[in-house]
Amino acid sequence: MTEEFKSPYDKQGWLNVLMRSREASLVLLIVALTVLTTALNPRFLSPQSLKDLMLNVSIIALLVLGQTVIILMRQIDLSISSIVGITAFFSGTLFVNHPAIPSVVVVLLAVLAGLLLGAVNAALIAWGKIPSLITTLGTLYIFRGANYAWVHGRQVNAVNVPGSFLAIGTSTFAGIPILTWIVLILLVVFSIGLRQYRAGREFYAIGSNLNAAVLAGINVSRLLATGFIISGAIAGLAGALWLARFGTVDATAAEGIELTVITSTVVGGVAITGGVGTVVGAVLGALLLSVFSSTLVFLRVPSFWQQAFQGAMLLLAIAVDAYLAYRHALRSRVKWSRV
Amino acid sequence: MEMTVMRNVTLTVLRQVQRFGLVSKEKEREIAALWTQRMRLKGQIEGPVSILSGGNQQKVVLAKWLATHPKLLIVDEPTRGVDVGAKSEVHRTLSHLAKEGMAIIMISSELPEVIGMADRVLVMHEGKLTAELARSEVTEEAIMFAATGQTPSKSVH
Amino acid sequence: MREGQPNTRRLAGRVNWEALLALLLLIAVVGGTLLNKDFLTTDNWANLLANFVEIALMALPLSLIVITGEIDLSVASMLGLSSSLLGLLWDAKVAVALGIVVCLLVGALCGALNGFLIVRFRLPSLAVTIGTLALFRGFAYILLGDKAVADFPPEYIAFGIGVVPFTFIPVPFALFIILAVVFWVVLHHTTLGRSLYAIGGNQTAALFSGINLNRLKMLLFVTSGIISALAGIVFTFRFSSSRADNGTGFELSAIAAVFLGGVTVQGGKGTVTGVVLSLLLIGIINNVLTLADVSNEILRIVTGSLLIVSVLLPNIIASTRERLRLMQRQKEIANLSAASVSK
Repeated sequence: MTEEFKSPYDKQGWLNVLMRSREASLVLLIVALTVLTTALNPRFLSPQSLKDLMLNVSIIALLVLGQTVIILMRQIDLSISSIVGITAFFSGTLFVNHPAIPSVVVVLLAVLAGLLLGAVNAALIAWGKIPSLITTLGTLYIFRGANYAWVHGRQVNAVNVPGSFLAIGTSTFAGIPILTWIVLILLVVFSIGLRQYRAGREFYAIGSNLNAAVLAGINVSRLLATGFIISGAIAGLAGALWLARFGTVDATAAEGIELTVITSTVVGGVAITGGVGTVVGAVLGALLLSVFSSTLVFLRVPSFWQQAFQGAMLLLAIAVDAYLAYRHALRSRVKWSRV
Repeated sequence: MEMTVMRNVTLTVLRQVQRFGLVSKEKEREIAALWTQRMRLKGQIEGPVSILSGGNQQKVVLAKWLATHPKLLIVDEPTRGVDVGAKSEVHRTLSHLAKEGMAIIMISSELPEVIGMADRVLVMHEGKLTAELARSEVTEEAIMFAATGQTPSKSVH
Repeated sequence: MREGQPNTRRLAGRVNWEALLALLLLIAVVGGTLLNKDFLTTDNWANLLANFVEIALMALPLSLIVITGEIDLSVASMLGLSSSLLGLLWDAKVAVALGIVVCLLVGALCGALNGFLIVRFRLPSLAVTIGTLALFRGFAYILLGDKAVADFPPEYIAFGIGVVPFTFIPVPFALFIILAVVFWVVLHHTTLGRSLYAIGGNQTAALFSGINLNRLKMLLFVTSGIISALAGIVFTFRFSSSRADNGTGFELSAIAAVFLGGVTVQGGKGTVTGVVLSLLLIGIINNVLTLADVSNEILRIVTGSLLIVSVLLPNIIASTRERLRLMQRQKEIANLSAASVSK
């Protein structure tokens, strides 16, 4: 006499699923914020300000892609800001020293440079077995120090950079900035890669339960290394695009951006404890943070308040994630025992 | 695991090892020596616990709790992961303690251990108590029936 | 028979971490003397000892926190917040003494926030303190913005830059020594200290042994807050300057000092002596490099490298020993089978 097996998740209507989806909540928040801000200051939805918004989000969203892979594995990469700084200056220097160099080559070299720096992290973490917090905290300062030493008070100016390259940072295609298109394309690539390919699934596995992943035969060292190399390469690309966007690069380029990136990723649903989250969510998180930032600007809130708000949002996101996980565990247990 | 036997044993009775607010090393040693001797623990009390055998490590845990002079001792799976020789030593220790008058609740999923050690067996199934068997009534079948939520039929044989 | 020093970290079997640090310290002093004739002057040492006081102060509670298996990245931000608050209050004509009390209280509150989120909500300390790092620094900016407050009353400045009578030892450094002794006593000679090691070694076992994890961890984070606030006050008086960005990046040096001092990443091991020695070592290295006109950025590179090396080196040594042991075993097995075959 067996009862029919009922799963606790059977009774979920599409509305329920939607409400549980982090991505949906993010979209809702973004829409709500936009409505609120536009009501208070209609200039928020003007083409210029929207374009600015998209440009601002793009570089962070790009970095978020790399950071998602890292955080999914329950690691962290604090050094991205320094990598972006170095590769941005590197790109500028390439143009200064070789004015005829094609933009594509510069971008590729920047990606390569970022990749190599990421490889340093990868080696220390995967092979040296140093926890990623310590490693990337160290390399954050080591790379930045090296950057300062290299730049030595100079800077790259927009005049040194070919107009065609700068155009990448400012022009649009079908109303959307090229920068944003680049991010969108990579978003699709990462999304498919993480979901459909084995390596992608393995990133989730490592973050979810390291021991189980090891026992399942996953090559953890190799995946860890791959993750940090990817993060470095993405940061390298971001550095080249930073030059395209801002034109002027000095030793302080991208300083402090790692905090924004990590906050965006966690707000976007990638739990800091790993194993959970999507790149789409993470990018939405970046968008939310940017919109919120713009809202503050439009509300005439002094820029000094930005950092505090960022910190608060990170704390809130972590707390919410923990609460949701707790509720989920509670709910499943209760339902199961009633079966 | 990294701490010494001495430190492990006195962990539960920290209040007893202090004098004027500071830890007294002599008292630490005194208490640790007393209880490890009672447990017949082989090995230096100032060595790390990690080098002891599984059975001896369990003895350290027992010593740690006995140092609190409990009226009731609750042990949960006391011989899980312990080798056969050490298993019988732990059993012997527990029986000895029971004979000296200590009340012991042993939680275990190993039938031979339960049947061999217990004066009274309480069986649970899905959070509910399903049987209380005195030593004379204890059989493997009786326990298993109760554990799977059924009642043993009288005419089994 | 002395207890076998269970808290000390060993680098390779017999080699005691603190002994190694002492040796490196000696080498550094010798090196410094050789490299620069001004190194051994009292002036230079007064400078040296004073310069890392804030980091040294913050490293004390931080090492206890790391021993229990947590971390606090927000220490430098609490320093900045405390400094900004002090400046703001002084600017608003509040008596400095009162300002100091308020700052210490705010520091305690900040630490309590950390503790609350980490202990009560069980959020990971890494993530929480990254968040509070931003939050507290953000508060500092909200309070002071771009401004800087200077001209504090001379008595307080004297505390910051003065020396202990009849010696060249800076007053703040003396303060640090006193606190270091207190922490040493607490960690190594009280039941509280024993409990901290137990938590770091095996949190569950500690909990089951009757140790009040929540209360102890909360205490540690609040202490970290108070001491970081104190460091902020010292910093403000030493430089006679209160700015929102004071102390930015100090957390790197503090963490480097803690790990270099022998506290392990997993927790459960480490000594106050080790951390004090590593602080001195880092201070001397910084001083020698500054005397050699090395730029600030290179110093950052050195500190970052020290941090990485202090964790990397033991790992390499451990894995090399493991590999050697494996090779030894394989040789033994080969010999054994060879012997049985040749029979």
